[in-house]
Amino acid sequence: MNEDDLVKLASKAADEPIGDAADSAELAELEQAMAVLRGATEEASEPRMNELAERAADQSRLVHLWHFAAVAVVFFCIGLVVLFKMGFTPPVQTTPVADHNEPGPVENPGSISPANHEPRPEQQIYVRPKWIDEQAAEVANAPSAPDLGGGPGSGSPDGVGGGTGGSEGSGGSPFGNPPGSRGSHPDHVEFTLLYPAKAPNGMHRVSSTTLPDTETGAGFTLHRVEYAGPGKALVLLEAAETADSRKALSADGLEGNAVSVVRDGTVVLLISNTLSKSELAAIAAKLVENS
Amino acid sequence: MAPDAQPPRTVNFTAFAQRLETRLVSYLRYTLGSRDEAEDLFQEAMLRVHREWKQVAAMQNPEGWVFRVARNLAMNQLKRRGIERRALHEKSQGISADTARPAETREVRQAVQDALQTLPADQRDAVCLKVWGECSWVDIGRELGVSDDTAARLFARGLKAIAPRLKELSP
Repeated sequence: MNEDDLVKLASKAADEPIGDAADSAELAELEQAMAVLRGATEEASEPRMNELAERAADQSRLVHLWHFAAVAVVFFCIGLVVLFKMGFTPPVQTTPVADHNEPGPVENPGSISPANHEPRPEQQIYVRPKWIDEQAAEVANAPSAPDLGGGPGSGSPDGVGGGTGGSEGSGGSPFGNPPGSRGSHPDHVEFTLLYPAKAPNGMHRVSSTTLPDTETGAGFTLHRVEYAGPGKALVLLEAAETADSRKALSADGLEGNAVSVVRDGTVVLLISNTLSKSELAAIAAKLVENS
Repeated sequence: MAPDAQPPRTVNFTAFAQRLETRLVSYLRYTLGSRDEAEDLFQEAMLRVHREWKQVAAMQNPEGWVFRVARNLAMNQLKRRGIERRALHEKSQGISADTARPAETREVRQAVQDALQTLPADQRDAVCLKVWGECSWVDIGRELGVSDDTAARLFARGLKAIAPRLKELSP
């Protein structure tokens, strides 16, 4: 049997005939061999397919995890970019808002009040008046108690005419006790004078001075109340609640600790060299109207 | 490849794998000479199919693609063993995993494996692809890098060579 005949027979035995091949003993032998080979086919195995199903499921889970991880990485990168950009944006201080038409206690007037629903103009960069920094520096470097001068009761109860005793103690300060301001209270100034219900421990009031806007240059009248103790100083700056005063008395980032509040139509800035902000806030919460 | 063997796109992966299971494992077993390795490579090949199931299901001849993948895996496996002859020698050890099967079946498979072992690699490949891959002469030729006529000749020589040994196994 030549090779061509063999190919014809084998291809016929394999059910894909090439050319014609007559039935013969050789063909029968090849068909028999094919039958044996096919009979030696492996059987189906349930464990094998179960294992495959498990591995395929694991693979699917891994693929999903990869997708999840990829999404997480993308969001992480976006977050990083956003944070990076925010980190290089110059700090913008929002205009302290609170509701101008609603008098009453407003804690932390430096924040944006959710009650204000009016469309707001673009954010402005608030530049704190220099005199506030000077006041803060003055308090932070306050001299010891004897130097602050003034004894208890030096401020008058009405809060406007007093401060004579303390004026010496705060000497050197352009706002300490200007001669023209003693006892003065311009007519256009309408704000409630406030004092702590109780002087801080170891401190006493040494002066109470009204500073007209001509002295402060802030555009509004300011009332300054000064407390002192051994190595301690506390100054309250009060102004009628106006947009300018609120801006000016914002306590953000002052040297020394400072807290500002709005109460009874009066904006109060408390500055101290020793009292913490929480202590100042506690004092501010207990401000009482001068009677 | 038999035309009716092509799964429609709607056939899911599990059904596709079940249909290929016996043929693919047999092909790998007699190509590698090791049932254990055949099992492993079957899993590997089918996991590759699973990873790219959407593309595979859309193919005109997905089973041909799977057998090509399986053959590549088998060839890589044989290369890893070093020498193909040595691998074929070791295949007799792989049959030890068959102990759970009936003795008669085990003997037949061992005999078939021994018979195939005597063939040159290209003839054995042609026979395995034809018997268990159900590949056409064209497909076998493409896989082996020869013409379809040559593929048929390789198959014919291989079948002719082992026919006398297989004759003894015929019931």
